[in-house]
Amino acid sequence: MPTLGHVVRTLCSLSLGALVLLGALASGCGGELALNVVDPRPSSDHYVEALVARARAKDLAHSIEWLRLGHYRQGLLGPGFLGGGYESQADGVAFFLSSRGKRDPQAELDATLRAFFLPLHGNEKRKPNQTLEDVHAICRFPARFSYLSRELGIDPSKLEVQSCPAFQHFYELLDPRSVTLVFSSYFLNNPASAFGHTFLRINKANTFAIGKKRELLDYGVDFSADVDSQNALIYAFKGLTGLFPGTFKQIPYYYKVREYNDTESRDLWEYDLALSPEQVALLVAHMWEVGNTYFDYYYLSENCSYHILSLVEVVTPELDLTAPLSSPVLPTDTVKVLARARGLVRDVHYRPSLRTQFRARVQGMSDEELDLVDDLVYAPETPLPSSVPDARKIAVLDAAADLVDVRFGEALIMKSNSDAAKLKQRLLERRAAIQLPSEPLEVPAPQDKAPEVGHGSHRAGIGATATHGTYGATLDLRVNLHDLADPANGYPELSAIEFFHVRLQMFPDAKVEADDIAVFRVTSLNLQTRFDRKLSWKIDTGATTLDDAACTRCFAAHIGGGVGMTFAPWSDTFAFFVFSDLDTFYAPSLSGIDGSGARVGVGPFGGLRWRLAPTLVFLGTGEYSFLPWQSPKGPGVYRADAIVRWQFLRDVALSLEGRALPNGLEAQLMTFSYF
Amino acid sequence: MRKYITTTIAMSLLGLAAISNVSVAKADGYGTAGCGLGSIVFGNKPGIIQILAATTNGTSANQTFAITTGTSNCKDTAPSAASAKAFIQANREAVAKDIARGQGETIANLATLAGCSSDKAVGAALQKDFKQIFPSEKVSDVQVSDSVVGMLQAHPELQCKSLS
Repeated sequence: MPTLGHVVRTLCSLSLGALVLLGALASGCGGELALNVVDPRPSSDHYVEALVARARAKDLAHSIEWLRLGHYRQGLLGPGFLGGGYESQADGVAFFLSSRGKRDPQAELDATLRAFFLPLHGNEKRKPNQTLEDVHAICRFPARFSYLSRELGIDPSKLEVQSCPAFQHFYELLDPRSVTLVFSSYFLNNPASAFGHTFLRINKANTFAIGKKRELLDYGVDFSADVDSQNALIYAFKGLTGLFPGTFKQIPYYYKVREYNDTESRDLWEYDLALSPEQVALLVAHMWEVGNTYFDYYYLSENCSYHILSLVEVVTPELDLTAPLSSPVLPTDTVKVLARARGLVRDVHYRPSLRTQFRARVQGMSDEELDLVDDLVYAPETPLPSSVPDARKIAVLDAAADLVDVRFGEALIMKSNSDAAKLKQRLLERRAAIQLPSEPLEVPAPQDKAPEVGHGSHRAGIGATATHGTYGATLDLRVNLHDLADPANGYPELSAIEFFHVRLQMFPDAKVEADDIAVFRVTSLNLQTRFDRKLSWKIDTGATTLDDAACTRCFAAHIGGGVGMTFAPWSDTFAFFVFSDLDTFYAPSLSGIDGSGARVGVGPFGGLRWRLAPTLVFLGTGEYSFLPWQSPKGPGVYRADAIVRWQFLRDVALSLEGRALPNGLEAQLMTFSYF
Repeated sequence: MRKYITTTIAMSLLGLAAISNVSVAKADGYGTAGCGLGSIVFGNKPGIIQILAATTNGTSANQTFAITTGTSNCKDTAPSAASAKAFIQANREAVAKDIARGQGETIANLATLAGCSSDKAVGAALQKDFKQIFPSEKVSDVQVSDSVVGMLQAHPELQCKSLS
């Protein structure tokens, strides 16, 4: 249990007066309210007005600390214009004590100081479980109070509020000792999580006290949109335009681990932040403040990752964490910002997903053991030969149980498939019958896949092109994120996800041609192994250049996709794949179905991706499309691509690319910069 | 040839349908199972069309965990019998494996939550009692949590102080 003294010391170690007060404060604060904001009038108490004057003299309202506590950002039109040019990103009215607070940090600070000294018997609206203290400004804004009393030396004897029950309960629940930022890796099967996710974990002091980490009992705090629509278009529109409110939420870390690690099989990377006890306490106090309000949620900019970082920024005024971020803000961008802020990350941990754990369990097993694992998940009564020693029986049964969870995890939780539950039950009964503990499973962190070592999430390239004997220049821009030929460190080996990619070609006759546009392009290659038969898939929307008998260098809108299988007999650095593709194209100049501009192509697609070295990737693909309803009837069309890409600096790569189309060949030499 | 084309179209469409289904919201038929994972993990997730909007995941249909909402046992991780039960319910699939294995992260955390003196001893005791805790696959999460806590209470040598 954190003592009051503890909270006091950590929150406010610099001011003796505040220390006493926070003793009271620490016994509680907070509450949800929707107030009609009325600016507290200038106080008749000289002491209060003297504090306000002193704060103005020190210009605290424009200190980094205050601006960050209020989540103020400079307005687009610059300072000195429209309320000082500041605007808070917080959108809930309860976050402000002044009616002008959203745009005026000075008015908010004045109002905050005055509100601290208001008597308890105000006519604030309360919820049934809230005390009068809980709805008082001091208890709603403990972090602001901590900052102001540190700067101004507020005399606690002048205050009426002596305790904040709700805040204290929250503080004791979290029992904060340190803070960790958690990155949940890419999850292509849910488009909303395709780029990963970040949230904070507040580590309990209690679990440190016993000398062992008990992370599952810590709390995760994340920022997420409160979605009120399942309609895809409404969802997309509201998400992009900030019409969903985003709020901070807390939940025991074990829910997060089960959801991400087990159900979605996503590896977690955990970054322990080097924050002092004072900073940790202030961060938790500030969480309380923002927990009371909401921020309009913008998928591309003010999203989960952005606001997690803006919380950390509140307690690290010396660091500029959100400023370097450019829209769209990806979770990996925020991880990179943290990792590059000197001294902010104390330690990095890796928490392997269930699938990763299973792979580690079967790695190094003999063929006989692998056969047993395979047999057990179909026939749980498969006898284990007596020649197999107990330790190996345990290894086989443990792997089989993990495999059942990997395959049927959702069905087990939803209790929708009793065969899976029976299977697991039987395997576990057999395992428990060998009354020996399993060896703890150690999975080393794949350092080369840590998100912070990956290339920048945006890409720009320039190069030369040769097409049908003409030479020109190529310009290539991509908003996000990674294709199969890009430098592989820090990214999943066999997944690609591209969001707004444009390639333009310029020829000497001053003609600019669009060569390729991808609005959204995902390729998910899933290796076929004896235990994992998941299909590979890809989807592509945009426009691309066709060059064949029915369409000479025409730029056609394109929606397509395919399903296939991927094999890597030796290592995932050498993978080949075969797909069945279905593509649709449209261009006015195309002679397609019934002479219209529309084309449907179906056919096989295949290729090889070979990462020859950590910085050198070869990608070759080929496709043949039958054009079933083409009129006049013509032959099918083909397309072949080959890329060799060499990352010769951390964020720079050289790429040699060739393409064969029915009407001829073309080649490009490109330099890419990732940022 | 025609057959190949038809098959390809069918396969691609099926494949795409399968992909988009992965993330389509599931009906919530899981309200009465204590603090189980179901409703939280499979609450409401957006479908594939939202692909364009959603570059980062940060959606939640679950507002019951807002910071200022009062706590319930399902969210509390301070040592007590109630929070030990909530923990077991939410972690049921992992707890079952760890009990069968006689050790593991959920056992260690459970031992802390229950205030037991040694997680090793807890692992060994629960492993021995596996068949009583999990007599069949049909036992509910709540039943499992009741019997685990009951077992821990029934073993005074484990000294699970927070359960009394």
